[in-house]
Amino acid sequence: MKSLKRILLSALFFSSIFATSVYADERWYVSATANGMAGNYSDSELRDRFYSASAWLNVDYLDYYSVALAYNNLRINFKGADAGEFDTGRFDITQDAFAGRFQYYFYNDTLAGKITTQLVAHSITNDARAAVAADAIIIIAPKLAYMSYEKDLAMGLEYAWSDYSNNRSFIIQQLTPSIGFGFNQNNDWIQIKAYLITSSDKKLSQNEDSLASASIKWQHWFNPGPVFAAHNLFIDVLAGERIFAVDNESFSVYNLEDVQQGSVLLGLGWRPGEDFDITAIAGVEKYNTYNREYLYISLSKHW
Amino acid sequence: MSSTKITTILFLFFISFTCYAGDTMWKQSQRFEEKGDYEQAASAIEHAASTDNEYAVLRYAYLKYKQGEYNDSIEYYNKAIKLNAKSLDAKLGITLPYIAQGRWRQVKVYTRQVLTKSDWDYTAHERLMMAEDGDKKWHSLGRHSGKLTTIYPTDATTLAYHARAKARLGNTPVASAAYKKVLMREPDHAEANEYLENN
Repeated sequence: MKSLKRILLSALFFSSIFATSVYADERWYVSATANGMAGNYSDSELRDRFYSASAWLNVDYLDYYSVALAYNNLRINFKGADAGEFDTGRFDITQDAFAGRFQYYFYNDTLAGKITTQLVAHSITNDARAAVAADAIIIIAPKLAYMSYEKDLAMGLEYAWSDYSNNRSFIIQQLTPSIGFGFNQNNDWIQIKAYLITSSDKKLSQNEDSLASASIKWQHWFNPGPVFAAHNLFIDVLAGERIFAVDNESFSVYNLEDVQQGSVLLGLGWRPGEDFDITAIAGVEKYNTYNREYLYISLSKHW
Repeated sequence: MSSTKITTILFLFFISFTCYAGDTMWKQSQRFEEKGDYEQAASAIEHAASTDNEYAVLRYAYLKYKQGEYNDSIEYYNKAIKLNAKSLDAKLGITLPYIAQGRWRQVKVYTRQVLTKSDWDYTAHERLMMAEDGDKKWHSLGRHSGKLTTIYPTDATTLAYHARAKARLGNTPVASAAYKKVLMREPDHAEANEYLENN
């Protein structure tokens, strides 16, 4: 656990030095992203608000391989911070999450597309006292993906193995098949993704040993946008149930939440300069015992 | 007839046969290419391409590209670059399979290498614009195509890229003016007609 965290930290440090020294080379492409998220829990007896901040660094060598590192700090505040001895604020949680991603690309003329092999590793620690077996986590997630040369068809299959075994043996496995296709001269993209999750111990996963959910995301690129001069707009809807889900597009792990029963989000993206992106998202997530509403903003700079 | 004479005759016969076979190889390859049979056209020169014959390697790479075997094409263009690192033919050639695979970063690397040797090489500029377009780098494409329209003022392709970049950046007046110039050069240009009908 500590060794994985140490590796990810060292990689983050060295890659940041490496990235700043090589970004001018046209063979190396570097992106840095900072994002923040804030929200509140409605209809919850205990949970009040949450705040999250992340930094990602991505380095590509042409279109051969890519390395990304991410750090996230999350704080969940519980209600009744001034309630003395019965102060549920004592349950406030602070979490540090590190993630690393490696992608290697192949180009297959028979399939007329790009094959991506991906491996993501997460190391997460927190000071949760109430959360069951969720305070020290390692996740390993390999993925195989295909994108046609025309960039109008994509398929992927990801497997995530989440080890919550710091207290007792508890493994979550997730299979995530996905398909996406572009239309309207690729100005529109639809992606459908399924989350198939199994738990090794249903007592530790809210009496659920197998959950399934699916999401559909529509993204449209403007030419340019009628909505606040936006560059793109996207809507993502999730239906079904999932717990301890892993979403490696955003390096997100839902390890501190209950059974999610759906979500909807609306996002807008801007590109004020060729090498600068801004993304804003408003979303609502429904859980079995509460709802979570949030706002998210992300700033990315590309070199 | 002495054995020396027989040997000489046989030697000349084989030499002439070899020369004839060489001529036939190129002719055969070109005839197959004219018929659109790129596989046979490549097979005809496959042996020569396996040697250090630079022309055979370049031609074989091109014929592999025409067959849709882009990885093989890239391999042979790389071989041609190793044989002759100054070859602009090879550096322009290798952009063809990279364009087909949508690998715009590679296209930029090789077209820029050509442009450092030959500032206003039209093919290199055209393929670099293609890469900027494929990568949706509208600011770069707008600046790049804008400079090129002064160098190649009659060229409709450059004007169309300029118009597209300005349209994507929301600069309708400049995009419309550029598309009108495209139509002066190519009255049936579909993209220009469609844009001007809608704007």
